[in-house]
Amino acid sequence: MEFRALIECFPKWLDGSGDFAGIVLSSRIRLARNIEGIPFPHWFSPSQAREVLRLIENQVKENVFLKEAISLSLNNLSTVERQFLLERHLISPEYASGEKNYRAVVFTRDEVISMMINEEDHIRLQAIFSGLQLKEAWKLIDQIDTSLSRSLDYAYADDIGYLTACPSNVGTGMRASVLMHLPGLVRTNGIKGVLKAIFRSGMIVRGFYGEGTRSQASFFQISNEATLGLSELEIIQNLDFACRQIVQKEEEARVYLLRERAQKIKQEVIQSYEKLKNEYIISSREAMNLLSNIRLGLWFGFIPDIKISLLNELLVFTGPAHIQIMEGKRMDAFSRDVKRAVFLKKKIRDVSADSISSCAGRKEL
Amino acid sequence: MVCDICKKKSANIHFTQIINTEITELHLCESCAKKKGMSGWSSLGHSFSLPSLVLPKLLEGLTELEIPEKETKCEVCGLTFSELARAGRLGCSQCYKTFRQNILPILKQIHGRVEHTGKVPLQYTRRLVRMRLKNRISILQRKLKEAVAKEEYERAAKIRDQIRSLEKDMDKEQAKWSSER
Repeated sequence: MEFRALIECFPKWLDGSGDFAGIVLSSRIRLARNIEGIPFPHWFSPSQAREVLRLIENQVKENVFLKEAISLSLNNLSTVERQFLLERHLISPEYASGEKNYRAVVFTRDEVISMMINEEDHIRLQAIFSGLQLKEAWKLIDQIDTSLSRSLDYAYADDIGYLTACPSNVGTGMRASVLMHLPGLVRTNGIKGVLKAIFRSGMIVRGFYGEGTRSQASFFQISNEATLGLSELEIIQNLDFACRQIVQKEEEARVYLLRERAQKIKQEVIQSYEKLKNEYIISSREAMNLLSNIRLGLWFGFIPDIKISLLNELLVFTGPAHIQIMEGKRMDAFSRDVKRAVFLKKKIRDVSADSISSCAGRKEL
Repeated sequence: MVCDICKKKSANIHFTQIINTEITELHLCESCAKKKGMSGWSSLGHSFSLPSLVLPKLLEGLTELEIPEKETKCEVCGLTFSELARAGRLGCSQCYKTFRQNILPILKQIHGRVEHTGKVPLQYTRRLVRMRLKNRISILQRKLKEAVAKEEYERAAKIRDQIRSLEKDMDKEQAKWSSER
């Protein structure tokens, strides 16, 4: 498969389905697994690395969930192509920037399931769903994990569970993360209290691309911290409960904004919308901010009806690597910003031309 | 916006780190970012990790520990205690046994509890089942020998039947196992 063909694929987790899809972008569950008897990736020899890759790739080929999946060897990918996979949330920043041999990423065509082979652990399996759908994600990833474990002997100890390179993943080896858009809480300064509450209840907050990345444009990723001592379902229930409470707080903040600062927000939203339609140069950071404002404006009903799935898509497809893969060449920041503006303009104008009803019903508050 | 480090060049690499509840922003120019070891991805302008700010708290825990004079070394993968402390990662599954005394307090610190209550891998359950069957068979075989030695043939026959039935169970396990593969 030619790499460029991926640009035509639409990741299913962007389709705007699932609970609270306006506020919750995605629910992601990741499992860390290692093969018994072989050292972990930071410590294994090249021949052991090759053995792990071969073992897992053979299982993937026979696995009922993964046999149709796309498999890409990291060594064959350019920097931009890796960055593209990172923007698609298929690989981690660390995996993208590493230079080790014998690594491969495997993902289903709808990009719901993906697997990094020889990242920090031998296997990092991921399921990502649109909106708040943690239980659905767990159900699917649990099945796939079980089916893989029929032939792969996982490193496991009966007292402390699945064994991982880093002690912070031991136990269930599970990290569940929910990507949320919280502009109401950021604008009303309620975010600090919410972050504090999140930390107190044993969760961690990260940026848009997960571990070690910055939060921007009011996007926050909430994950479980402990992986040991609780069952997978308990971890998911706790996170799901926390996220539902955060959604409620965010909605309350938005209602407050609508009551106290409606004109100011409206102005901001309309300006962002006009900018997206008319600017000639837009950086990826700016695009994210504009899309963040529009997402909020859509919820208030301040702008014509745009589908959440389109806003999700634009967030991902305006990444620097996406622009370059789309254009089929390496570009400097300035030319990317120009192309990004053209792309956004086209996408947004296509919608506004279509939409007859200028203001779709405001979300019930 | 100017670079937070050199305060001269314009900043085009931006970080927002959330540490506990503090949101810290860092804006760097490309050359300062490079100096701080954050190059490579910088030209792509997007996300990457900032190791100096996201040191896992685990590492803090490990380096506080005193390194014993005679180093413990994992017999399977060769990882030493000081290498474990430096990397913050274990070398292989055996390391969890080798460094158990050092790892358990860290696990407790990170997770609060140190008892796994989640999923159990299939192969592990299978191995347990097979191991139990094997144990029971070997116990019975010993009894069988005793019975024969004491010439208690009736008892021996009973034990022999029990062994056969357990061996059948073993075969069934094996068959189930290979059919699912």
